[in-house]
Amino acid sequence: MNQDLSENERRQEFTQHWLAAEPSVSAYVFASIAGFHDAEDLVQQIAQEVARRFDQYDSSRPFLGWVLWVARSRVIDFYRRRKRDQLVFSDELLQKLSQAIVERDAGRSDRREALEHCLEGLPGKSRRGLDLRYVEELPSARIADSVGSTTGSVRVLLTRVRSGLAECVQRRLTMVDA
Amino acid sequence: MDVSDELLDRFLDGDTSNEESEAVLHWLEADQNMRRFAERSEIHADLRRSLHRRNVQQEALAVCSDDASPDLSEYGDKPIRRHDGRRTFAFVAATLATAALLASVLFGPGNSFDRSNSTASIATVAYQSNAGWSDQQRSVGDPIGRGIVQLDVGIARLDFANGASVTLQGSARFEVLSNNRTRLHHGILTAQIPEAAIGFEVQTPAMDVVDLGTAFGVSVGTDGETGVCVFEGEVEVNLAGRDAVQLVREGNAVRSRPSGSVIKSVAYETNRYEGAWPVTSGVLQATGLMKFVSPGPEFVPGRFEDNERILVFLERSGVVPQTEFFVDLVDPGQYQRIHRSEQHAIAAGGRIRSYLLQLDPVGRLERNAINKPRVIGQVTFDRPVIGLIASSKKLSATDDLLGHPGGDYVKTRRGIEPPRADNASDSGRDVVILSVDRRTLSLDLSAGTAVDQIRVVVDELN
Repeated sequence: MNQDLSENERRQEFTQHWLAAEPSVSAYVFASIAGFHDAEDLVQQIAQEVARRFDQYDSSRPFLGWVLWVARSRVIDFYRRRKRDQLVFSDELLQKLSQAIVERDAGRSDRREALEHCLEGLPGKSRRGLDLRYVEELPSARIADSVGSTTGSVRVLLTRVRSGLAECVQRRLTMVDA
Repeated sequence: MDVSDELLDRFLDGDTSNEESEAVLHWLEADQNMRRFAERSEIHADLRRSLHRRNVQQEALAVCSDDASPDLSEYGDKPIRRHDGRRTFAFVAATLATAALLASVLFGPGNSFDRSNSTASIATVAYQSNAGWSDQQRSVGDPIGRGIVQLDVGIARLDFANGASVTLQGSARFEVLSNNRTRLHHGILTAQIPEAAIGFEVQTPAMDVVDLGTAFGVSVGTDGETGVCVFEGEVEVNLAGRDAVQLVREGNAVRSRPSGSVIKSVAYETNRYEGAWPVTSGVLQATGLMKFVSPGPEFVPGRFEDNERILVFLERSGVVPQTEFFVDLVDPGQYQRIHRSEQHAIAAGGRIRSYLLQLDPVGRLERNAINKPRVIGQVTFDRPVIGLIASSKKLSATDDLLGHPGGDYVKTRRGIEPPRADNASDSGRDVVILSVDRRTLSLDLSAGTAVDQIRVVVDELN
């Protein structure tokens, strides 16, 4: 029975840790690997691995740092399986990226919540552009075809929308803090 | 140079030229730039997540209101493929809702390691000898899925679907994590990894070992201390929980403790792997005065001698002969001197592996010396023997095709001296018998002035 309790506690502990860390792990993997499907598959592999190795996690240290250490190995594995001629992050850059992601860990959930609000206020055209990119997974050229625009215009639109959302998130957080 | 948000976005979308990617990677070397990049990648990741979740909700509402085919025309005039709903569901379920599910599946009831053995077969028990399993009884051919296997005694070989072959030497606690990732909690294993399975990983309490196309041994003590010995090729090792990767090349060994701060180089010592390694390399049993030679740069024909035992060397595996070649024996039974006009050929094609069996007295013996070493033994292979090469000429003729790449093969007389058909059985000649099932060779060799050598060719495809 005690064993069951301790297992339940471990399960809960892992669940809480993972739910908190996963958005940052996703950002790390999305940053180092282009392509939603590959990145998402990798995040899943990382989730499974850290769950299995959870007994090795030293709870006196930050969970995210440990998970990103595991993630780095999986990203390197992914690079190895890929074509050699593609440019990839060096070990040093992956390390720097990991550090940058860890630095952004504070306030992560607040920023995500703020983004949800900001998305509500997005003009229809901007929202359609984002849906075509992130849900339909169309490249810029196909989006341009679909909306009768040019590839360059679509790229500029998407960049502006993202930058606008980032500013909106910052504004909301400043308002809450004030 | 400065990198615009537009270029960063394209980089994150995988939509940049090589020159642009190179420029971004160079730009990222500055810490403040990396911070800006991390911020941008966060927006991308969060948008992907949020928009997917909203889409799933929208689809669910559509299904509830019997509108299973929402009009997508608002996206533009031209038709757009509907996204893969299953994929969306999988993604959202995975990223948002499955931490608890993941925990319950992976942690499971009971012992934290004894969790759900997946029914999906990742490997099979290819061979076992005196194997005692404490978790469940297993037979040759049984599938192994994800999870722990506990071998208390004996030897067992697990062949993975991707071609990797791992032999456990009891007692060993071994975990299959995926088709190319495993964990040795304690015990000894040897592994041979073909090209198709490069990247095969063995985690231990002290180190992670990643194969780079090779054969190696790993031993983990009850205190978690881990030794790695590389027989062929090279592996990467890193301390558990650390980034720094270290390359270990063939003929080298390293050791580390759990929570240790360094991986130490230690003497290349293969003794502890002598139970498991032969099985990994296809020699299931060697009895009598037979010694399977652990691989390593110095343990090759011509450089390693033993006058008391018949040495068994693995020479080459995965050989595909481009032309036919000649051997001395192809059928079960006793090898006897054959008439020159009788030629046995192995056809081109197929895939074969070769071993060299050798009795090589240390130093030189005088002709007609009394008390010449005589040794008797049996060796059993995992594949059928399709040819024996035991004459000097044919041995030399097949050295290039079948000899060990690092071997040093003498050009003097080196075959064995089989009896003629009319010799009495006690004539003192070398006796070699191939069993009816073609898997076991019995030998009774006496070393003369020549090195007694037999090359054994097995069929890897049967």
